[in-house]
Amino acid sequence: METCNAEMKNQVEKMFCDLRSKSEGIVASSSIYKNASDRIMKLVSSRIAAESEGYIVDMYTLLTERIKQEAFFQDPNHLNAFYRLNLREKLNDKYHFEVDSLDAFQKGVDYKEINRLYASLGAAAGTLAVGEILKFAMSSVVNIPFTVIVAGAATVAFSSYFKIVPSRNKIAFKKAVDAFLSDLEHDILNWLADVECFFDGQIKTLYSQN
Amino acid sequence: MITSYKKAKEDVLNCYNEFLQVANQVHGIKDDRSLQSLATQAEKIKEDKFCLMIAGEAKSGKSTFINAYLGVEILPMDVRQCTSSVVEIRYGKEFILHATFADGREQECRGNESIKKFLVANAALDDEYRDIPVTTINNEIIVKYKAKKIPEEIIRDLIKGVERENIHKLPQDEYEKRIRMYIKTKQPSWMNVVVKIDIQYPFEDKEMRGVRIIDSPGVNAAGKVGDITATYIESADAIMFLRPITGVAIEAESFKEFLESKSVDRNKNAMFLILTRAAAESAETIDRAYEEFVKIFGAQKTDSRHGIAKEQIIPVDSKAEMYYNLFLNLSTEEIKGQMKILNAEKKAEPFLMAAWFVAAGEKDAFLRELKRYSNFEVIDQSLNRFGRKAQFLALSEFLGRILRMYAKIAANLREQIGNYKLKAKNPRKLAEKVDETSAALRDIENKMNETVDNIAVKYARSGNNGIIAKTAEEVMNAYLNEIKNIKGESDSSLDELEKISYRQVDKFIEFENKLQKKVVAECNEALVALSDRNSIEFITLEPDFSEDIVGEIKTSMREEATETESYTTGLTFKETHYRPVFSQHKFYHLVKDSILERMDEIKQQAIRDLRSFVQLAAVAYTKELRRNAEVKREELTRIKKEKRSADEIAEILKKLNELLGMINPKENFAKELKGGIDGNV
Ligand SMILES: Nc1nc2c(ncn2[C@@H]2O[C@H](COP(=O)(O)OP(=O)(O)OP(=O)(O)O)[C@@H](O)[C@H]2O)c(=O)[nH]1
Ligand SMILES: [Mg+2]
Repeated sequence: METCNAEMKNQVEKMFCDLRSKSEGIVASSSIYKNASDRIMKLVSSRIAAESEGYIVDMYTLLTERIKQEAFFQDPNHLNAFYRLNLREKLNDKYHFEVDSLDAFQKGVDYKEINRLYASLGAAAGTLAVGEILKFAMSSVVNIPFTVIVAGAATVAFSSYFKIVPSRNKIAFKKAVDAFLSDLEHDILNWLADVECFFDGQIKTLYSQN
Repeated sequence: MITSYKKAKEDVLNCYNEFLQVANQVHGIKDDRSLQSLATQAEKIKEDKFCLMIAGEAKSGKSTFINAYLGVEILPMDVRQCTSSVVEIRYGKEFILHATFADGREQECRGNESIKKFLVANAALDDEYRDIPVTTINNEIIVKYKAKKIPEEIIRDLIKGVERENIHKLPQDEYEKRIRMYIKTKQPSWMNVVVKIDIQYPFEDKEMRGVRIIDSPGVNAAGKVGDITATYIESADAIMFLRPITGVAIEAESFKEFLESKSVDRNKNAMFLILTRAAAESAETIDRAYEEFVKIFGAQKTDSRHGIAKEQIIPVDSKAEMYYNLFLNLSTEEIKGQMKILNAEKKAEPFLMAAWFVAAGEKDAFLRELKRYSNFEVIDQSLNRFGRKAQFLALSEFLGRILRMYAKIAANLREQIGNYKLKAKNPRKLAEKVDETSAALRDIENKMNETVDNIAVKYARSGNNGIIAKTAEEVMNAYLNEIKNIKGESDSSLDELEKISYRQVDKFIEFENKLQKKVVAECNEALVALSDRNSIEFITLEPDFSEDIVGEIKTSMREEATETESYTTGLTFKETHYRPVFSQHKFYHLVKDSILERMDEIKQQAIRDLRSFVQLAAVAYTKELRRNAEVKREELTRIKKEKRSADEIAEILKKLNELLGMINPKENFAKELKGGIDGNV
């Protein structure tokens, strides 16, 4: 399920549009495959890591504004109970992408380490498909940095491209990048829907208490 | 105005102890988080060590200066010795030396004898290699290549790079021969090169216990320093660049280049130019040289250059200071004996004899004369004035916190007094008040939560909507504008690009710090009554943009920076061929694009950090708000429920009023102290 909030959808679309055109530029300007894939991966993961923090803020604001419209929350005691749910903190704990453990990134991209992390994630999720792993990582308790997932996904996506197209032509490469970005976009929207779901679930406890 | 850091620090810590005395008597404050963070900060201030970095060309008198400054002869100083690794000296209970070798091995020496021996052995120069820049060769080749084969072109590059360091003007081929010889003989024992020495010394002079002082191998004629030295330079609280007051051309490159170097550029703290060996010169010569230096280097700080105020250029004589230290603890008779010996051995410098003559055998006058020659008093004054800003600021901030705590405690006491009075007079009314206040607190809590929400969304929204993203964009655009005009044709354009980029990284760090402070300030302003600013930890951007990274970028882009060029062969039947050629222009643009991508990554990292910070701050504030409301409510209920007789209440009131009375004078003392310190910064 993707989020149906139009405003958020628009934001995500905008970001991916930008990522697509920048990746295209990289594919066009680079003649060395490893350089290009490395650059794209860094571009995508750093951007998504930054934006996802913004999305949590947006989602919290959006959802909070929505419930404040409800009659039930016009009662200051109910509103107070809402604030005391600490939803901002809970969202943060659940979806905040650890920055500290980004060792693999701080010292430049360590492919081996990323592949290892990604593979272990894949084993837990039962699949190596990018979308499935993302969904699994986002909705469960694993505390694997988001950037690592994106980078791992990118490596997997590109290495599968390598298997299919040994001649390394740019058109096929661009296609792999596009497919990868589309998957990712879809997954981000899913994730936002998940955030919304979690939020609503928490609010429900308030109605039932009264 | 308070100018002695040590005195200010003592006063501030006293102030803190007084504060603790009050705080310990106040009910319900013991587990206040601000109190805990105050304690941590006090600890930091207590242990704070000022890092003073000493740099300068070989034989400019660095080690001698340090010994004179510390008042103990720790470092070997001799024309025949040279400091070949970074030496860090700081206070410790025992005299201990800790050395690190190029292969990571470590060694420890204890006690005077063994340490002196180690230092002399490590710093002794073989006669054959006296004329070549051994330290540079060690740093740039031996330690880097270890047991690996050193490519011929690297050796050639090095020889070219140290041309100007041929201080004894050997014929070029002889100079080169000795360097090659040195590399050949030294490389097999590369692991015995010492790269870092740490010394702890039990200074008697308490003033020296708060200092960390770094002796470094000489910078070369081009102002370049080794990698380890560069790291120290970047983080030092103050840098002193030493050079003899005469004997070297004033406009000699080394200091200029040093000022322009990347590591110095990144250090925003004070820089001093220390002119050594002043005692040997006439007052006239010193004045003239000094004016000359001021004219050339005493420029205002600009964006691209460290400013050096007149007062930051200081003529000194370390030898004179060493004599001062030596004679200070001798009796007049002993001094007379020493002077006789020095004179007989022809070791006494003319200035020493002159001072002795003027003093006419009187110890105090002699010491005064020596101090006048050494001019070391000015060193401390200037350090306090220019080098201690960060420390003074920390003290002031700490006092500010204490003042806020006093205000908080006083308000709390007044409230308790009011409530007890009410209870004694009209218990029913107190019960009513508790209910009223509870409702009011709930409404305030809701309002405050909304305020926090608004601040969070204003800053941290996704896309280009929040202040964070918008400001980051501005910071980036300013950078793009700045590099737009660099022409990509020459090698220097890359240097220019690199330098602007390093600065840009600093700007991002600054941007991150600034915005965090702004968020906290805004929250504090909106929520000042209830919250305390101490509970949020700042994040520091740690971008990975080192010289290594730039080096990697350049290497990988060199591969891509080729263009195809045509050429013809044959005389009668001309034939056109194509060959790849390296294009500087293309290379520049590729490197530039890579750096831009890197910059964008750093920008994204800053945005992510900041958004995450805003959220953590929002969470911290809402928690703090709630906790404060809770405390207030509990306090009220507690007083309401307490079963106390009228006498007991009178007793409590007396105690509370006493406490309140204690606060005022203490608060005033802290305020005055803060005013004095603020006058400094
Ligand atoms: N008269 C006088 N002599 C000095 C002064 N400073 C240093 N010297 C002498 O200059 C020589 C070199 O001093 P060092 O302190 O070893 O110089 P350095 O900068 O540490 O030298 P390297 O470690 O080799 O780079 C010694 O013989 C000192 O006695 C000074 O202020 N006055
Ligand atoms: Mg020395």
